[in-house]
Amino acid sequence: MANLPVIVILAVIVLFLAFTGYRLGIRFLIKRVAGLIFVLIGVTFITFMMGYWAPGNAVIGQLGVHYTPKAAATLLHFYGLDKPWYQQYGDFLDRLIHLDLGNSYIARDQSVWSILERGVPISMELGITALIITVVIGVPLGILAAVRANKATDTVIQTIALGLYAIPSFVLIAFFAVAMVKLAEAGNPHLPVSGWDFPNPASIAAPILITAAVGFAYYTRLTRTSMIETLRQDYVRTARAKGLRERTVIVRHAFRNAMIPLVTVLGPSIAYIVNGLFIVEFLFNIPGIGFQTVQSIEQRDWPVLQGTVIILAIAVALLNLLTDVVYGIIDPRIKVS
Amino acid sequence: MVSSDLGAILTLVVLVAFLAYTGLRFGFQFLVRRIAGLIFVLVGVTFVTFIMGYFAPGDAAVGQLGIHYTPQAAATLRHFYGLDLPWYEQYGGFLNNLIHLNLGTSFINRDQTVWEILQRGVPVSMTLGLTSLALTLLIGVPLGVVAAVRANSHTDTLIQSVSLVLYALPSFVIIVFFDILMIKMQNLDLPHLPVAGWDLSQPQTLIAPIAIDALIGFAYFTRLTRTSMLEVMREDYIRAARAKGVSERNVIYKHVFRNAVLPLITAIGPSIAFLVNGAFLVELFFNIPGIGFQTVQSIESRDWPVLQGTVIILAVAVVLMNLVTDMFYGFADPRIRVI
Repeated sequence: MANLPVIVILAVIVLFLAFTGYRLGIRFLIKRVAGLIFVLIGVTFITFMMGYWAPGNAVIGQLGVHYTPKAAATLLHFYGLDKPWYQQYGDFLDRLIHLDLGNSYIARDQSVWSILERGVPISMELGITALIITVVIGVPLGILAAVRANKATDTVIQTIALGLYAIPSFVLIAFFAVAMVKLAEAGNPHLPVSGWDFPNPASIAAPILITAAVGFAYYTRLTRTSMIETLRQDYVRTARAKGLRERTVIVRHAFRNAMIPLVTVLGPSIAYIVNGLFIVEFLFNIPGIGFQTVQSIEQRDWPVLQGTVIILAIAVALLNLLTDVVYGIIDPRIKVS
Repeated sequence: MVSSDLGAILTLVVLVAFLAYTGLRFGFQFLVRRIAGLIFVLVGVTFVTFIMGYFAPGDAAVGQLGIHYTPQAAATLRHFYGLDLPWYEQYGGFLNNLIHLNLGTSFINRDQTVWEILQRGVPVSMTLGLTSLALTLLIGVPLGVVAAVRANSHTDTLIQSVSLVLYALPSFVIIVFFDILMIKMQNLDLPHLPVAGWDLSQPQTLIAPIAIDALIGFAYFTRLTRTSMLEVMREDYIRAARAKGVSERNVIYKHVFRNAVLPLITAIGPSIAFLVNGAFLVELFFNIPGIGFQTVQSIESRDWPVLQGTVIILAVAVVLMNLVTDMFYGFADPRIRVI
């Protein structure tokens, strides 16, 4: 299926890999690509096994009242479901490479690909915006907390962040829904509690903020710890002794070095956001990939579930690779070979 | 209604001893600051949960009267409950109750106090959480050490890839996969683990949730340990240790690992807090009656008092664990005088 977004994404990935090879060495690149392929095989195998072992039979469902053993056998043969598992896995992989994820069990006229195609952009909008907000709010707050360490500002920032971190996202959403209902009853302006209308700020504000709320505490804390460590270093003292302004010391010297652990954490952040997406999309009725995953589990729609899991796993794996590469580039002391 | 339960008293004693020790070791100012922070969080969280209960649709009096509802009876009942007081007075009453550890009665199960309900849930969640955290660390940290020591070798790539696979798969997919696997094994008459339930007298029910919880989480610690150790291994003092002739094993364990452990401790802190939160996905899927499960249930059944109770416990646990983590960090790194 050659459509434009897929080609663009594939081109970006290839360019990225080429850049990695150029900058960090061919051996690094080969090792990482090998690792990535291993991950892909692992993930596809697990999702394949999930569908293979799943109770219920695609054929029985489809035949319904017209079921006879003979018709079932013919249909099984037609779908290739009577082949040994390794052959089925091979076919599965083969179809995957051609980007054919099969058809949904529930909505039989729709291919899994078309279903996912609708969901991925929405989730990306939500996830990426939430991540940006998390970083834009969390990191400066962390720097502020570090610079005024152990003073009142620091305690306030830390406790607010901690408070938001403590409350599970679905609890926050429940609170939000109740507040909105109350506002609506009193005829006041309020935010919608479901739906996704990008880039309408009213519609997207709540889901994004809630997705971001959980993560920003983590970033604030990490930035703060990292900055405090960095500010203790000798070269910071040197910079101050040189007579540099405090702002320059903090931003250009301390922060640049403190940023390194933050980059390492970007990879896991993506996984974190992906997991958070399930809850937020489900409770806000946002038709993204998280919602589709949850729905496909509820409806036992295994092809769709396989599709979503593969996409999500690939995204996490790629982004982890990206994090490693960026880490290798940012810190010139690291010799990755 | 103060529970004279032994567990509560023990916890309080440990808490007070801990705070006293903090004050002695890190200074009175530090202690005061942290307690102020704790109170700040508690006030914020209680206020928010109170407001939610206050605004929540549905009326305690109406619900309780049921078919016996008359406007007059409802008004009397509301007055009895103090529900017709202005909101700030109600909030004051709420706080007063809290201090006496009275969290109210559940809306749904009217014969049970919130405290009783939570009392059942917290030990379960803590058992599940502590054991799976221990397992996570037992698996994740050694793997990370091995990966760092043999950095960029095949072992390293293998470890990283396997943990990445488990990390990239969304957690409930792993749980669903496990369920399907067990059902299949059951169909084939193979030995299998139960997919639901939590019974301390039947250890086999405990294995699956703990193992799955650990599988879901260990990759993060592997990665963290590996990165942290690689950072430390580049330091000058490691080179000095090697030059001194210290055996490689001692270099790794006594010098590298000890220093690499610090970021790990910072990471473990939040994880411990979530012990009380309850790995609610695992609890939900495995039908484990812990605090996470109770939180989800209380939202579904609109049982606001229970929800308030779980959120407050959560907040307290997180702040306390935050303090504990910072203190451990202060122990582990003697360079840190004040945190």
